[in-house]
Amino acid sequence: MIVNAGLLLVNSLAAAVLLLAGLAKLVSPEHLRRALVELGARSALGTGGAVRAVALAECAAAGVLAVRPAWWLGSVLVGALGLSFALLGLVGAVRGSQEPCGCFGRPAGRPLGRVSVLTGFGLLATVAVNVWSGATPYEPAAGPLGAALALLVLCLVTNRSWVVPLVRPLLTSRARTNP
Amino acid sequence: MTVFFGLVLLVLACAVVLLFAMLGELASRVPTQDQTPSKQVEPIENAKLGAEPLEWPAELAHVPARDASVVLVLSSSCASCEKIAAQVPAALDRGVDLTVVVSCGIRERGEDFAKRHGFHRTHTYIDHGGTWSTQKFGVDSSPAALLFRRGRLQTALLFWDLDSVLAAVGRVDNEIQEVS
Repeated sequence: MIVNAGLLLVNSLAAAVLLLAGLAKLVSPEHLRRALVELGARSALGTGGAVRAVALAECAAAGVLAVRPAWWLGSVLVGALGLSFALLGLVGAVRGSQEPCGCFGRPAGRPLGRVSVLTGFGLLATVAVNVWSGATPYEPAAGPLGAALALLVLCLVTNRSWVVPLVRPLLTSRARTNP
Repeated sequence: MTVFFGLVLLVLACAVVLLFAMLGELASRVPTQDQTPSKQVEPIENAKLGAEPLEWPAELAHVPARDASVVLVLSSSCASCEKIAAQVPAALDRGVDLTVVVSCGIRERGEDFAKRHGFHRTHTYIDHGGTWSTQKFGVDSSPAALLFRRGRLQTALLFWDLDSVLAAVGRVDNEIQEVS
């Protein structure tokens, strides 16, 4: 039971991370494109189209993790994305990248570096756990629900600089009206 | 059924993430308050250059009668327009001849905008819903500066600093005069 819940948590978190990263890149691929160009990416890789293609791959990988995490093709896709995250982060850290990568929809966020490496290793660990467990040991409906919940929580956490100033006045006024 | 519900919820969560991503992208494009206003001036692509309406609102009846007129189109609901509107009284003090069109969704809001910025000192037309500037001249962005010669639209510029656009309009007017 604990193993099942743990696996659901890991898959949901990984799917949420991939969706958050992929959707943000679909909206604004320019930040990652500039970060890749700064790292010396070839012209074909350093285009908005290439970044959007990666974003679509991330969304697809997230979909697989949410619906059929034990599918081998999905594991290959998630593993490849995790490996590329880790490698890009490593290159960014070694070369001292300065350009914000726009990761997770934050244009003024960090450049490619340690966080990207950790995210990459996290995705690789997710693949390893799923391969080790074999078949999915929880209800099929739990995957999409868990991913949706994790995505909403992660979205609120990464965008807290906008959410908190909006929510704080509401809480304050409610406290005043209900002494 | 539960799987379907889960997928629907996931799609909704994705929509929320997309909204935040778009918000982030928009925020990255808006200059921060401590930045000096951009001196950039851009032509409005959809403007109907050469348009010469036969009928003018009473407040703008002087425009077709004059050789050259500069009309500012300011919206009561845009942050940049508030800053530009605050620069208008100083320009009028310097003797700059300006006409103002206040584009607004609610007439009272437009009138309040004009009153707050002292536009009573010059010709001011309240353009309810932005209908007049959009239909007659294809100007649907603000703040915009329109240069007219005898009621004919010569140029339409999007701007973020009043002095910069007045200089640009002056250059365009000089070029037109030299050509003619």
